[in-house]
Amino acid sequence: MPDTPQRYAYVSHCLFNANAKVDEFAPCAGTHPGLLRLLRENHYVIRQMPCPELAFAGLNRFWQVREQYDTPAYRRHCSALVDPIATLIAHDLAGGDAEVVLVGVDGSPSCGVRFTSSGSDWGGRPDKPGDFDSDIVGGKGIFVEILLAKLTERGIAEPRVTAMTTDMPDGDEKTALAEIDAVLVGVS
Amino acid sequence: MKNNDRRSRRIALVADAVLNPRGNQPDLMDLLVEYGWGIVALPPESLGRAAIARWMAGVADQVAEFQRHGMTVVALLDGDESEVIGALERAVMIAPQAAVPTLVVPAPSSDQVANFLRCHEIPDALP
Repeated sequence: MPDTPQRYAYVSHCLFNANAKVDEFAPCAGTHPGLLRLLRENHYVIRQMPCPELAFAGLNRFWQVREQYDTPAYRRHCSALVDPIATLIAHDLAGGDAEVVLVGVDGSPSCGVRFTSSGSDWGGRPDKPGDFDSDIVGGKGIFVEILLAKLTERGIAEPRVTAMTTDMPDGDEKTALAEIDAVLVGVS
Repeated sequence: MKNNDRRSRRIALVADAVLNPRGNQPDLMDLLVEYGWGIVALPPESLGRAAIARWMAGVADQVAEFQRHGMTVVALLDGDESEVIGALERAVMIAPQAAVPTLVVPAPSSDQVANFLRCHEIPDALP
């Protein structure tokens, strides 16, 4: 595609590795086949970001909301992970004729790009038996927030964003992939 | 894992050439999807030594957590990316207990990669 900008998709880790998801939230065996297909069809270079929750809270972590992860230590952890990602984005954009899209996970306390989870009463004894006992609010997850701040520090404009929405109440894969495809196609 | 969780407990560390195949190279991601593997992407060699090392520190933490829970971790590496391979060895494979079965691409054929994945597809017993 010599006449179009090189496109880069920075995808949240679990979209290509469901093994990192918090328990009960893995929608596929490993790599999401539908997302891979869309990225290939639209000629994106794929960059998978690390999972900030996996290394910090482990595979046996409970479901948590954004407020629970919003600690100085978790922010330092995210910042350390984000640093080489921001460097790679700067490297990818250095040629000038390139574009970056961020594919996150809406509803995630870490990787939400438009919506994240919230619950001021979450803490202590795990007493939230329902799948969606937290609130979903507009805003970014902590990892994404820190990534975008690092890009701003480097003078890089906020990339176009889209997200898988299957972790959201009423989220379904077909609708999510259609929305992601529209964003991937729409990058001029 | 509970309820309808569908994770495979199989993870491949993959070189950038696997995630983003060049030219006429086979798309090994199709095999990884077919056999149900998740991936941990390794950085491209062009990122540079310092940033690669920082990236690998995060990879090492993730690998340690997967292995601590008995998940299967392998690596599909690009033989042309010596900086990435060196950084991975220093970060992840330095301890014998953290050894990761490794296949170097793109030299092997798709059949060889498929056989490699099949040989390692059974995760350890659930903890």
